[in-house]
Amino acid sequence: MKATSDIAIRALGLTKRYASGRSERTALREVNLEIPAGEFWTVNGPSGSGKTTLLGLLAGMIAPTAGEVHLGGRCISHLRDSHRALVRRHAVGMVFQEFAMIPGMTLEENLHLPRVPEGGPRRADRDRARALLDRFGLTALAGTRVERLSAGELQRGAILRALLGDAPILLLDEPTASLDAENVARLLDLLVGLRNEGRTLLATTHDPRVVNDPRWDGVLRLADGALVS
Amino acid sequence: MRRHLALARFALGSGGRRAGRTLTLTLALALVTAAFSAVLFLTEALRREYRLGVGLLPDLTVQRLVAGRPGLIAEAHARAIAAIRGVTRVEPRVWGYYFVPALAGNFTVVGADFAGPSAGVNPGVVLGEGRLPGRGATGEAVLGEALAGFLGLSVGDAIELPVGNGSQRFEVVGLFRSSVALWSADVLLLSLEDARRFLQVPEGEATDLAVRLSTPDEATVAAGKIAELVPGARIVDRQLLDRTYDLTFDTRGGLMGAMLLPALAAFLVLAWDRLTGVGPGERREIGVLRAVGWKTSEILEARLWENLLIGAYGAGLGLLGAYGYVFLLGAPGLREVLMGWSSLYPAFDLAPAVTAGQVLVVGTLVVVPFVTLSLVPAWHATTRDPHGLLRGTT
Amino acid sequence: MVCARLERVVSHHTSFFTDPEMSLMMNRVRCHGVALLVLALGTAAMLADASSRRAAQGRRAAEVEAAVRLLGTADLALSSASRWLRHPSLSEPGAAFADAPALLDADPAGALIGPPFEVSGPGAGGTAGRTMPWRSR
Repeated sequence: MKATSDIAIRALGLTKRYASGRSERTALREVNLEIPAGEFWTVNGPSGSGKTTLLGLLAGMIAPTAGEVHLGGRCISHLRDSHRALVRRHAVGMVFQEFAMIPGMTLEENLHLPRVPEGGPRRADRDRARALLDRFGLTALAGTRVERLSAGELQRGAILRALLGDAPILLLDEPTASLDAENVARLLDLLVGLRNEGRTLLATTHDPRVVNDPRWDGVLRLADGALVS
Repeated sequence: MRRHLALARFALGSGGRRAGRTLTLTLALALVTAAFSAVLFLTEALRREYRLGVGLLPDLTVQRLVAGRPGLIAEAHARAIAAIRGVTRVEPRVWGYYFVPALAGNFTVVGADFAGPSAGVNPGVVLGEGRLPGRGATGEAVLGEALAGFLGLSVGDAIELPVGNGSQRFEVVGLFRSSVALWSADVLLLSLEDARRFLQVPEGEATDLAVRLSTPDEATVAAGKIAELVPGARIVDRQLLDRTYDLTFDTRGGLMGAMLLPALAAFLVLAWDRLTGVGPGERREIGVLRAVGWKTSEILEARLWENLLIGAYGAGLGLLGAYGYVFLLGAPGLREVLMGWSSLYPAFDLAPAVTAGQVLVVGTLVVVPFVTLSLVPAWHATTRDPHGLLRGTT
Repeated sequence: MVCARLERVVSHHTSFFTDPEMSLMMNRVRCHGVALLVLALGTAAMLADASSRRAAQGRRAAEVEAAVRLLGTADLALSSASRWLRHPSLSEPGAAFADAPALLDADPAGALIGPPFEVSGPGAGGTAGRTMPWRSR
C-alpha cells in the first residue's frame, strides 16, 4: 500500500475568503501542498494562521473560494456538498480539536455516528470497533457517556472513530491541545504507529512538544493564511 | 428502510436528550390544537343541530322592510301571493320578541294556529309536561324550559305580563321537552290571537308570510313575482336559510378561531424561538454530524422524524382533549361565551359532527406548518461552517 | 413474548435483528410505535363515539321536527340578547350594525354569530347574486 510516488493529499492554489459584514477576511491564500501517501506531516503556525481552515478544506467540510483539493488523485472540491460528506465518511478520518462528540450519548454510540445514515453499524463495524477499543484501552468506557470522559480518553475515542471507517487518510486538528505530557507522548507513539501501518497523516499544531518531535516526514508552516518555507 | 429506521432512532435519542424542549413543544402544540379544535367541534355540532330542522322551513319567507327594518306585512298580500302559480300555501305568521328588563334580553313569542297548520303536531313528542293550548282557548301558554326556570313557573302556574298600558295574563299549560331546548329555551308559545294581542300586531297584519311551493325549483320565479306584488318585500328562500349558519359560524365567528390566532402566533413564535435559537447544544450537534460526514438531507431527515413525532403527539393529544372538553365536559367556559350575556341558557347535549375528514384537516393544519417551520433553522445551521458550530462561534 | 416472535420472523429477512444493540434500537422505536398506536386508537374511538352519539341523537329527530313545525323557525336559541343573534336567518342586513356600522357586538355571542349573509356573502354589493334574496324597490 505504501508507495512514495503516490500523492495522497494535494492542494492547488487553495484560497478561502470569508465575508464578514462589509469586509472580507482571507483565511487561506494560494496554498499549494503535496503530502505523499504513508507519511506523517505537520502543519505548524500560530493560532489564527488558518490551520483549521486548511484542514476543513482538505476534508471537504468547506468549499474553497478558489483552488482545488485532490485526495488519492481525485478532485473533491468540485463535488456537491452531499458527495463531500461521503468523502468525510469513508475516505478521510478527521479528528477535531473539540473532539466532536455528542454529549448525552455513550462513547460507543458516538463512534458509530458516521454509520447511522447508512442504517447503523453492521456486525463487522461492531467487531472492528471492539477491537480498536481494546487496542486503545477504552473497552471499559464504551458504555460511558462522553461528558464523563477525560480529554485523553476523548482524544483516543476521536481517533478511534476516524479509524473505524478504515480511511487511508487521517487529518488531525491540534491533537495534543488538551493533553498532559504523558498522554501527549502516548498519542504521538500511536500516531507514528498508524503511519507505519501505511496511513497518511496530517496534523495541525502549535504545540512545541509536537513540533520538536523528529519522527515526522515533513513540516509545513502557515502564517497569516499562506505557507512559508 | 434500515436507513430511515436508524435515522428515526437517532431522532428519538435527540428528542430525549432535549427532553425539556420536546415536552414544552408537545404541550404547546397540544394546547393550540385543543383550543382550535374545541371551537371547531362546537360550531360544527351546532351547525348540525340547525340542519336537523331546516328541511321543514317554508320555501320562501316574505318580510316587509320599513325604514330598513322588518315591519309588519299586510295579510292581504297573502291572498295575492297564493294566486301565483306554484304556490301551494301561504301562512301569515305572528311572532316577535318581548323585552324583559330583568333578563336584560328578549324572549321569543310565537303565535301558533292550533286550528290550522299546527294542529297536526303531536304534543307528546314536543312537550315534556302538560299540553298545547286548546283550540279557540285564550290565556294559555307553553313555555320553554329555560324561560320557565327563569320565571320560576311550572305547569298550572299563571303569570301576568305588562303589555302596552295594561297587562295580559297567561296560564302555563305545558313545557317544552329538554331535548328540543336548543330551539325552544326562550319561547313563549301562544295561540295566534293571544300572540297578536301580546305583540300588538293588528288584525290584518302579520310578522311575515310563510310560502310553500309545489316544487322548490319554482322559488326563483315565484320570488320574482312576489317582489312585484309586494312593495318593500324582502324574500328569503330556503337555500339561504340553509346556509345561514354556514356563513354565520364561518365569517365572524370563525372569529372565535381568529381570537385563537394570537395564541397560534404566540406558539409559533415560541417554536421559532426555540428552534432558531436552535439552542447552542443543538447547533453543536448539527456541527458534529456535519463534521463526521452526514449529508444535509440526512440531518434534516433526522430532524423531520423528531418533529413529526412531536407534531403527531401534540395534535393527537390536542384533538382528543378538545373532544373530551366539548362533548364529555360540555365545554365549560366556551359555552358561556357562545351564550353571550343572555341568562336563558338552553341546556344542550350536543351530538358531535366530528368526522375523520375534519380530524385529518386539523391535524394537517397543525402538524405541517410546525414541521416545516422546524426544518428551516436546522437547514440554516447545516449551511454554516461546521467548525464554527462545533466551537459555538457560528 | 410477541415481540420475540416478531423478531424471529423478521430476522429471517435481515440479520441485524439478531444483534443485541439493534434490538435495543428497536425497543425505543417500538415504544414510540406503541404510543402512537394508542393515540391512533384513541382517535378511532373518538370517531366511533361521535358516530354513536349521532345515532342516539338521531332518534330525537321526530321531536326536533315537531318543535320546528310548531315554532316556524330552525334558529337556535343560543343568545337572546338581540334579535339578530336570536334569528340570524331572518334578521335584516343592518341588524348586526344597529349601534354603529363598524362596531363589534358588545355581546360575546356576537363574535361567534356573524352578521346576516347579505352583508358579507355574495350580493353584498347590492348586485343580484345567484341566491340573492329579492327586494323590490
